Amino acid sequence: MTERMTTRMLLGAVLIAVGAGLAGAADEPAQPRAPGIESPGYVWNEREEEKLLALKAEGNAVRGEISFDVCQGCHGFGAPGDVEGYYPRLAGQHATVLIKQMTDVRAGRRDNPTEYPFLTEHVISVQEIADIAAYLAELPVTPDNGKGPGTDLERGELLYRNDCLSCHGPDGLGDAEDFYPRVSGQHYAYLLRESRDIRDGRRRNANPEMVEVIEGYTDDDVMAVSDYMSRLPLKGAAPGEAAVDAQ
Amino acid sequence: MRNPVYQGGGPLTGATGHARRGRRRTALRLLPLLSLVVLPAPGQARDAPEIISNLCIACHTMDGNALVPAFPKLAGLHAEYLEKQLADYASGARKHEAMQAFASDLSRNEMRALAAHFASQRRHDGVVTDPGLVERGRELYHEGNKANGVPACAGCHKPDGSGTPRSVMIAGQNAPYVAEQLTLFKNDTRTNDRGRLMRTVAGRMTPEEIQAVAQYVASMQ
Repeated sequence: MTERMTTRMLLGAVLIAVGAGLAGAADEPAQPRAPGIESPGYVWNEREEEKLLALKAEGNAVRGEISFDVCQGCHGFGAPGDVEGYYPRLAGQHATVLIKQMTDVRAGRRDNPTEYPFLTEHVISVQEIADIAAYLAELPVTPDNGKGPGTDLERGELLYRNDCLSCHGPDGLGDAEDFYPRVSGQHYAYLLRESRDIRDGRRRNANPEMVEVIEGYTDDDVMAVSDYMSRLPLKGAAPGEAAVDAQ
Repeated sequence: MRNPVYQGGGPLTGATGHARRGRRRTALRLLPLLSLVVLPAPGQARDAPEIISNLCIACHTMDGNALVPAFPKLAGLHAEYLEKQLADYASGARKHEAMQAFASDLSRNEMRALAAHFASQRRHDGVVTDPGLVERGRELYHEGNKANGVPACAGCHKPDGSGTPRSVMIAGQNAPYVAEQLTLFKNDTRTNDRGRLMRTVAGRMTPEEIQAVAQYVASMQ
């Protein structure tokens, strides 16, 4: 009895100490939560509020490079991302797609509490969102992205041709106007995670049309198609290459 | 009631355009005199060396290369950063009893002069007090820690630690000072960071990571 009480008191003391420790730490800006794909009446990529403003703003790549400093601690200099897929490659991505993702994270339609504190309105303005997107879209894409295991590329190609090619294109270049992201040159681990999250409803700003397409995918299917996408040759009118050629 | 400031000069007063321009020019010439009357007299205007030899020298030394590791080196920091910190100390946005007392005594022009003075000094190399931590610190500084979401310091403070006007230069800074500031950010005690960025980053760092980064920063030249 007394022993149990002592244990309880000790446990209580530990809990209080832990609580005090947490209370003493700086609170990060908490990401808000907006309705997403799980909510009835969800409209994909509704162009309103900050998204609309950032899309209308004229992005300035020179200023964008300066504003990108708070991002490159994770996404790296020149935005190559990391091979392990914690942080996606942003170099060469369409400006429209980048604006969509940044404003979706900011509004709480795409959950990312790790990134959110670096993307609040106290850090990045709407104009800077447009500037950063303009800067990133011009960056060259290099072939050193993380690749998959290469064990099921035939199935990956088949799935890609049947289900993905019509939107993301034969070379995985996506479509700026339609907000379809470029997938070529992206890290395998990131493609895998996001594809799974889209399939399973965890990526709440996903396009319902894409969810419908990959709903029936097994884990092996997702792996195979992500692997295939990570190995798409870097050719064609890639935004980065086009910008480099023009200089 | 008649507007006491507006003294005519409108199209109906009969003055020609030329005369109006002349009056305007006289008014412009008188503006500096007016400011003498309107602005509170700041006392004797002091230059940076005079202020430093009275207020700053004991802790920061004349050229801003503080010898006591608990005090920050100011030599070579961006003037924008130094001026902001002085203003923040004066307003209480950055809390430090002694520094608030010193900074409250300064006019904005004196803050600017001090900032310019220290910014133009050459920074001496820092002193590493725990060499065993430098490698771990180097890794964190340049790679961050993906597991707890700590970004690489190099992103904002630059790979060589030279910083930018809004992200302070940290190369060669005294290790105990760096560790103390990161801890103050972590504990939500220092709150004058831009958009809570440093509170977020330091909040994710472990005490060990803070010590390691501080040692590496001191080793940067």
